Amino acid sequence: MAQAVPATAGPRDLRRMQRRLLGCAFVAPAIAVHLFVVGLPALAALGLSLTDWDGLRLPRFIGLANFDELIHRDGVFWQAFVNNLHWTAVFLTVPVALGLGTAVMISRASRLQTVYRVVFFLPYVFASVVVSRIFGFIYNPFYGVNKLFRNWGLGFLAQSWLGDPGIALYSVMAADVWHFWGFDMVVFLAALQQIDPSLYEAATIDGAGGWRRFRHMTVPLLRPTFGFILMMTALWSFLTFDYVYVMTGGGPAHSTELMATWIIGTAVEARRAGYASALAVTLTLLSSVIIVGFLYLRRRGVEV
Amino acid sequence: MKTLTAINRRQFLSGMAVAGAGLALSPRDVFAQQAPGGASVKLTYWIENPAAPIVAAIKDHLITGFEQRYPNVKIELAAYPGSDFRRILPTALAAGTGPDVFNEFGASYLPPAIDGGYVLPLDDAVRKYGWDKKIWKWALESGRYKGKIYSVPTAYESVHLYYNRDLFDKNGWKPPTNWAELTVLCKDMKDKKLIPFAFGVRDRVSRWDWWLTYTFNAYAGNYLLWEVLSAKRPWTDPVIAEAINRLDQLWQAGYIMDKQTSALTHDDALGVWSNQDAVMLMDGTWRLSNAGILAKNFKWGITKLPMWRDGIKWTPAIGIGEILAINAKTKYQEQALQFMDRFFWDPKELGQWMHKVVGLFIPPIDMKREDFVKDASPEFVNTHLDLIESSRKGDFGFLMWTSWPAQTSKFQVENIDAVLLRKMTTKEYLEKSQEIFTKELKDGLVAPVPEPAR
Repeated sequence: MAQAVPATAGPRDLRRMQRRLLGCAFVAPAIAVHLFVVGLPALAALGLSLTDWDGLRLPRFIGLANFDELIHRDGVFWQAFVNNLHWTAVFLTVPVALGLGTAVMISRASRLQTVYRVVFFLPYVFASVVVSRIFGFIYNPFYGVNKLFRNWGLGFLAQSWLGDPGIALYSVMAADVWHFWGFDMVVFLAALQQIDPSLYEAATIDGAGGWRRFRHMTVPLLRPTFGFILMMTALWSFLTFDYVYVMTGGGPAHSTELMATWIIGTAVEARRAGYASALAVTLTLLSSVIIVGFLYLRRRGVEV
Repeated sequence: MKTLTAINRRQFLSGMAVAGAGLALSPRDVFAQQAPGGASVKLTYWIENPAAPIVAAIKDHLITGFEQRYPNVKIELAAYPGSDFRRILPTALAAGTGPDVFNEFGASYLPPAIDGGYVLPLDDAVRKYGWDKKIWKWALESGRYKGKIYSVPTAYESVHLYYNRDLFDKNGWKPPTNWAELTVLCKDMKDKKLIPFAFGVRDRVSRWDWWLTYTFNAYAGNYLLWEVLSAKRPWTDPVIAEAINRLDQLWQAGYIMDKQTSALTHDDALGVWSNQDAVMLMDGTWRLSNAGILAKNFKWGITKLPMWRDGIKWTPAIGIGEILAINAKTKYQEQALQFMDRFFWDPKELGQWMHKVVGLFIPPIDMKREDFVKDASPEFVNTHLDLIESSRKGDFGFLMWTSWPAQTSKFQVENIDAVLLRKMTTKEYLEKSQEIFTKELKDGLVAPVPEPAR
């Protein structure tokens, strides 16, 4: 004989269900908005990536032809991908090192700490377009920093900063690093201020020098902060668009092209919305690899 | 018999509420969209040039003149920068919020919108308003797609040589007329620590289409180029390859912006010309609008560009830089067509003010010297009279942004710097051009180009 099911739930169950429903009710608007502004367009992009849509004509289903072109015939996309990897590698190291080093120094400053913090963070509040324009002037081969070099007898340092395909990408990165590293510094500084000073005192009493304290205490205690910064930096690096768009437009010869600029160029200039959707889907997949990597590390117990 | 008193209070109040809500929600639309019976109509008109003097001139002359003749039609003008226009117009058309009448850079940009059903065919209007008798035939035909005319040309343009006359006079230089003279002149300028040509593409790599237009026309000549554009010769033709090699020679020698084309915007480059560190500009007729402002400290001149191959006579590359089209979804087709006709009313009336909207509005119609007002600059008048004469004789070359199919043009302008920077060979560049052109030809996206006189 089947076990009898209680006809009514107890008061505790009702309260639990009520709490769950209340939680769902609070989250529901956000989920609805998210589905509308992110979910639906994402699904549309996935569908459009299988078409030859140009934004105006009726889309025609072409299967995986866009992905075939992307993989086998679109050299610019792969150049942009490699450029994105370079960009990510630089941003995972240079601003992080600058930010951490400066944060450690500022945290030890007994005076003017707020002033330092403001001064170093200030570039981050400038609009990226403004920074791009300023660096555009600095890199002007006739009137910019080259003129200073020549006036100081250092003409050999003068370069075609944005015109030489060998260095143009790094010139653009320099502008973004200048703008961005203050953010890392502030995040590290906030994390450093959460560390209990008595730990350092104890280590000092035990004879640990500055380097050992930094290596064996500061760095491990900042691990969650590193995790956050590295993951966000990697994601942002793959989505970078503004600096390249304003400073070089992806040139010369696509040497500064990034995946995001190539997507926009393809969708707007070339009016290939279907193909641009395929590029966007691929970019999403590649970005997802980073997320999955971090999730994997977290499941393995690494604190990120 | 029912009388007004038969309406009860509830019906009266609900009626008033509906009417009030209608008026409150959309008062302008209620009054503006009563087309029949002489009530006013609001037509939206979008242009891709927000420069204040141009917008003012369009309002003061073109729109005011039209509204005086058609007092029941009001034109609402919206001016966008070119880069935004490329993005906004297709989106608005697709969303059903596009303008009634709009400019575009050229007929080659229209096919997707035409195929999407967003552009009104104009064949009947062409006959009704007699545009076929006013507009140059080849220019009008450039708006034809799949057998129908969808746009009318409202501005023609070309590329020319602008130069610093003071520096030319001081150094005893003469404007070059052929390749040999050009290269000797450029070398002399370089030896004197001057940059021969100012030019920059950092802000818009597709600006290479100016130099490519010059390159193809100057070396291939207009007829051979017509054969290539008409698929009678391939892009890999040795003459076309040599044209690219000549451009490469000029660039490698530093004659074009000292090889810094990718490091500077064209505004930067114009600044270099303005400061007299560069001597010449290879620029469009639209530059007539501000060449005098840039050359504030020196006298400037404009002349024909030298051809690069023996036996090739100078023919200006003429093309349509602006077209006008009507949204197929407009509620006011007749009024939109009347507004379109405004652009071709009377050459003498147009000549009074069209020098104020250089680059946006110079309709390809026959005009005589006496049609131009006296305060139009001689450079403006003479250049356009020359172009009118060339068009009449069929002595014209081809502008890239008018006569090239879209994807071929896009590939060529976006990759010429790869050739100049040794990232791609001329052979690869032309083979890929041919591959894209062949595909566009197969897809019916290569518009016929008018055959020039031999």
